[in-house]
Amino acid sequence: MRTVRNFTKGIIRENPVLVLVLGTCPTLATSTSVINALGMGAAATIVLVLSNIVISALRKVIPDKVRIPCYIVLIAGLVTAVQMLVKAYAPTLDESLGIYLPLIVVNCIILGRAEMFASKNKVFASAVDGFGMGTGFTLALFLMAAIREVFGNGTFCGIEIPVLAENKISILTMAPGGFMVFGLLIAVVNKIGRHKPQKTDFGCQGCPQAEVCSKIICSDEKEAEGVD
Amino acid sequence: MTKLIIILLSAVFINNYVLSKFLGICPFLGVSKKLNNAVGMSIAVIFVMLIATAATWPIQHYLLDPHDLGYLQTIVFILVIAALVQLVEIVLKRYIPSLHRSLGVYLPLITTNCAVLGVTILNNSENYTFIEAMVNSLGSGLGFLIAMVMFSGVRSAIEGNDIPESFRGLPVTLVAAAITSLSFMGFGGVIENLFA
Amino acid sequence: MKDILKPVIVLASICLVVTAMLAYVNSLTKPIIIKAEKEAAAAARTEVLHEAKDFGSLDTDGLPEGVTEAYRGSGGTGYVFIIETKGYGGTIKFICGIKSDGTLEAIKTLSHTETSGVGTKVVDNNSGYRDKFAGKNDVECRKTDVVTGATVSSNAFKKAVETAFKAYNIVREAKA
Repeated sequence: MRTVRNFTKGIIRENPVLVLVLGTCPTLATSTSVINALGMGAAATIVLVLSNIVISALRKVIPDKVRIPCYIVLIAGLVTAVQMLVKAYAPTLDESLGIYLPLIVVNCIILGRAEMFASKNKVFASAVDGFGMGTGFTLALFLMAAIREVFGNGTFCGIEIPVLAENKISILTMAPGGFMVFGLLIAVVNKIGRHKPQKTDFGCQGCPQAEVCSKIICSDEKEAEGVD
Repeated sequence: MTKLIIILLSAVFINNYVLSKFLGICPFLGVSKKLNNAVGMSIAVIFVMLIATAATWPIQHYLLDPHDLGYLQTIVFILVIAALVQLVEIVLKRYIPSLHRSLGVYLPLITTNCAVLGVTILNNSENYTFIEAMVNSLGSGLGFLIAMVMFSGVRSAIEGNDIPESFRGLPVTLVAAAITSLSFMGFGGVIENLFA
Repeated sequence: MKDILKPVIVLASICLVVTAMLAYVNSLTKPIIIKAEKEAAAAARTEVLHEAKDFGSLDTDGLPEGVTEAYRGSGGTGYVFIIETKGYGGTIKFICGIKSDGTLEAIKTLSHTETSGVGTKVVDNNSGYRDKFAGKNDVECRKTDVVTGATVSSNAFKKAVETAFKAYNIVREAKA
């Protein structure tokens, strides 16, 4: 039962992209087509599961002081390995993901899960958590990419859709469309989930830098309140 | 010389890291609420981008490439950047405490900022010479600064407006970012025609 | 002492193990990557000069700047050039096939970093811009219009075509 909950929380309640708002860079950049989104999602999920397993297994060995550098090295190693495998077996995917493939290293979701979950939980639970979060990430990417590709390019997975193909809204596949669709999706999730809009308007709780980041944002808010 | 100017201008306006390449979105959304934070963060980013490029370019060309170790790029670059940021922090704290007070908070945030790692990897995949790489990094950093400053202005205009409940917070910020990004696309035509 | 030594040892050994793992994965995937790249390059050559069954590599010394690779199609079918020009977002790499009658059979973008939605109106292989050059000779190609709003990308494209014809004239004369 706990395993199931561990898995599903990543998909809905704590969806890394739409609820926790982590990993925004790859979400915006690779959601121009469904194929890219699925490729990116799969690559990130593999890295996430493996890094969670390794970090959880080593959680008693890694000294607290150097844990972040250790995590970064482990994650960077896994990302590079995945990158080489993608290059060897799916060269077209490698080309279309380009720089965003090595940049999985700095995807906050992965470092965030290492810090928040894997460093405190057993190996199996961490693997499940990683898989759930990865699936949530992939689903959110898929949703965004489907909207952007179907309406922006009139295709789905490269297959042309009649009517829509003649009436493309090309702006959706460009940068502004990415921001717009992402904003609208989060608004929809807020509406459906009846989430109270978060106090800090940027959810970096899962990010290892939250401590520093929230210092800046909180000081902002305090000052703002003071002015009121 | 023209080539360097083109690299600089296209890094600032056309291939703007935040608004067209989607790199460094976290600080863009997180630290852009107030102008002074936006400027502080951007200056720290420009600074780290420049020293990171100055350090990683020789590593790539004199250490990794000759020994056929290109596959270690990601791991070496991220470690170098992390170490550099630490070093800069220590040096600033010791010798220029006033600067450390204003930029210090932003430095740790930059280590895992994808814009910095991104610029070092792109400099290499674009086959830039050292000078070109430095110019490109400067341009990317300036582009980040301009995007941050513009966006913090946009955000202060949103503040205090009556926004539908489900749009409050991040969604309206993202919609604003979409419009800011749209305005940047206009630069494309302008700069293209300057050199046409 | 232990407090200082342990983190260093752990971090160093993690680095070592990760590097060893990467070296292993690299040794596995490198031959496959090289083979895939070769196959892709061969496929691209056939695509721009479909009559040639085989290609012989040519020396690029003395060819115009920007030509990185040159090939002669078997049976006097024509030549294929790989050309790099500066676009908007960086280097654009083209492959261009010129038939022995002096007309361009096809040109294709191999890699680019042009702005999505602007420069891609030119360099995207499905944008239709490259079709404007197919079947034309040197003079006709020069007259091709640029795409509005994407002048730099269009000029980079046209320069690649021009360079290909220059290189074509040089290698043809060298042979004659």
